Amino acid sequence: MAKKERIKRRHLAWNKLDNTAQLFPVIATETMSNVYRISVTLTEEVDRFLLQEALGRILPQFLIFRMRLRTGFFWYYFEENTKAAPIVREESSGPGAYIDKSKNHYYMFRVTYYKCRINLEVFHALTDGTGGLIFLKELLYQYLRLKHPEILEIEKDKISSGIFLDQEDSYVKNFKKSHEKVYKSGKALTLKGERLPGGEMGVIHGYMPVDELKTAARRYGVTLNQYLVGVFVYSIYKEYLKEQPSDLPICCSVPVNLRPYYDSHTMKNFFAMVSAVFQPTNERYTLGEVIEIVAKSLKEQITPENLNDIMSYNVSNEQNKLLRAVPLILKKAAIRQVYGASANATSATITNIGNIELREPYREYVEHFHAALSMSKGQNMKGVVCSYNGLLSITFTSVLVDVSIQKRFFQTISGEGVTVAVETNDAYYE
Amino acid sequence: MEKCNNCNIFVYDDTGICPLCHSVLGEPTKEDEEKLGRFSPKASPYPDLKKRARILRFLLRLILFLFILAEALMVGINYYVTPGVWWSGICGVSMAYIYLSVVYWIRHDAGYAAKVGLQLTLTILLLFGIDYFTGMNGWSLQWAIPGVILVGDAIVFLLMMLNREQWYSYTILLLMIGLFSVVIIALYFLGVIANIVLPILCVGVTGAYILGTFLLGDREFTREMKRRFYV
Repeated sequence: MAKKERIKRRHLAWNKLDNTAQLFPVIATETMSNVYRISVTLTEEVDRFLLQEALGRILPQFLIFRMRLRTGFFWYYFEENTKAAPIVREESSGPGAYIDKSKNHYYMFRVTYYKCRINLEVFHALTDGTGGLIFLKELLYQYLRLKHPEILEIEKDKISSGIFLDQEDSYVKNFKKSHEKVYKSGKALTLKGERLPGGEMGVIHGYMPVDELKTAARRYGVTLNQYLVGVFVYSIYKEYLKEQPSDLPICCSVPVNLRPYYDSHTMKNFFAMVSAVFQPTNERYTLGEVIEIVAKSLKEQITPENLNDIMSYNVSNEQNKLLRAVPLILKKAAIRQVYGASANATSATITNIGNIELREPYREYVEHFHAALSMSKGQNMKGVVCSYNGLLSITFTSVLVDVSIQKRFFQTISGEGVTVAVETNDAYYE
Repeated sequence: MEKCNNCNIFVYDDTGICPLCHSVLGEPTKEDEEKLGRFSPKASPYPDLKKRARILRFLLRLILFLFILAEALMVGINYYVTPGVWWSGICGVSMAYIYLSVVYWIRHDAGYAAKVGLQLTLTILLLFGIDYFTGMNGWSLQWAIPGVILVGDAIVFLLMMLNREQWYSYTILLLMIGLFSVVIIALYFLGVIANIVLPILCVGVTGAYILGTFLLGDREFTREMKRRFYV
């Protein structure tokens, strides 16, 4: 009782948004929500009440998810949210739909379910895919412990030991002063076309065995990630450019997790964007040539020095004392302007949240994971890669009716001897 | 799971047609079945969301249609019955105000403080607008807008009482109302407003409210200011 009162009386925690997070509240709209979804499909149908119970149990331990967004005079900031956990609801919107915080107990994430699938959708200001995945895994573990109490014979009923709940702003901690602009801000090819009706977003999940993909990637002497980005860029080249030279390059944005480079364990955003660039100057590039160019472009950029330069450039703007003292309303206008200009430098995004591992007693209840990104300005197609239990899933989200790029992507991979299975959200059927 | 022989991929969707090339799917062979052994046997389907979105869009459009119809009817009546006084214009502006307010309260993602703040501002603008377009008699500045300010004070008090644990989250709204009060009293000193009673009442009530919040609210007030104004 005394402890409860103490908690009630203590002051609410608040903290500043990290460098990347500052952008998202400014640019988020209903159609470009900056919300991502990570889903886990179970072997059995989800029990809504147990999922709500599981969320209620783990949320108090994740302060970073227990925050609400507030508007200050100079900056946005996070303030501890004392309201009850958001209501777990059956899926009623597409992946990455805008999170209406005023209808979600002011939380910046939501948990939904549909049949066997649990979805965690997170506003990117809160955390990146790494942080989201940690939370989803703990939610899943807690849910399965409630659903299958026999797990408690070998597992303790608490969040996993060893996970980090660190909330440091790793951008500010690790940046170095005085860096020049390192982004390429030239215009890139934009994927345009007829849009799906009613603002709908099409989703195509592709599942492939990791070992078969690795064999295919090895044939080109590239990593799995470089291979997937290479095939995607090749698909755009084949289907959108029709193998013709283009004045505008295909620029595929690839977020890089910075944690391993700085030994960071933060739950906040900590990533930098690099761009796989392919400028077709001649006709008829082969798949191998495109993969080689893309891999070279990524290799050149994903180096500790370049990533540090990118991060430091971003943070140095935020640290500028004069800019800090500009009222938020003016900052928002400036951020929108800069973002609008830089958004034209990207054709699409492919991100990889990596291999997901679960602890032994929970594995038998899980079929697979997949993730999806919402659209952003200038980008009408995005892809998210993750793998679990030897199967890789890549999810393409798009607002375009035409699926020829996705078709070419899966046909190309299948043609390389990889078994491919796909499923969609029915947006592409009449 | 069926197979698209054109794309050489397997399809989970229960539609019989390939979502990528739209060719008719076929049954997987025994060799295919072996390959599929590593895949999840079950699909992870999505609910039909198209119908729900259509209903919501239809409802909002229906309200808009009825408002436009009502306005057209009033313009007609106005024209034939009282052609000298364009009261239908005021009705139109008011209906637009109501419609936009409803859409804003339903659809806009903001807390009560922000919504109330914007609503008060819009109401002040609406009243001033009506006064301006009906001959600028000054009733809006003299009586109506000070009234809105006092109503704003009462709303903030109500919100603070309802959400006592986080009463301080409404202090920015209170400061905004304080700013409106200062403008109103300034208009009196500039000679725009003739009667001082309501401007004095606005400044007195809002000023006392802000002072009370500052003194009685103790450190919560200063903490809120620190958060809101951190550079």
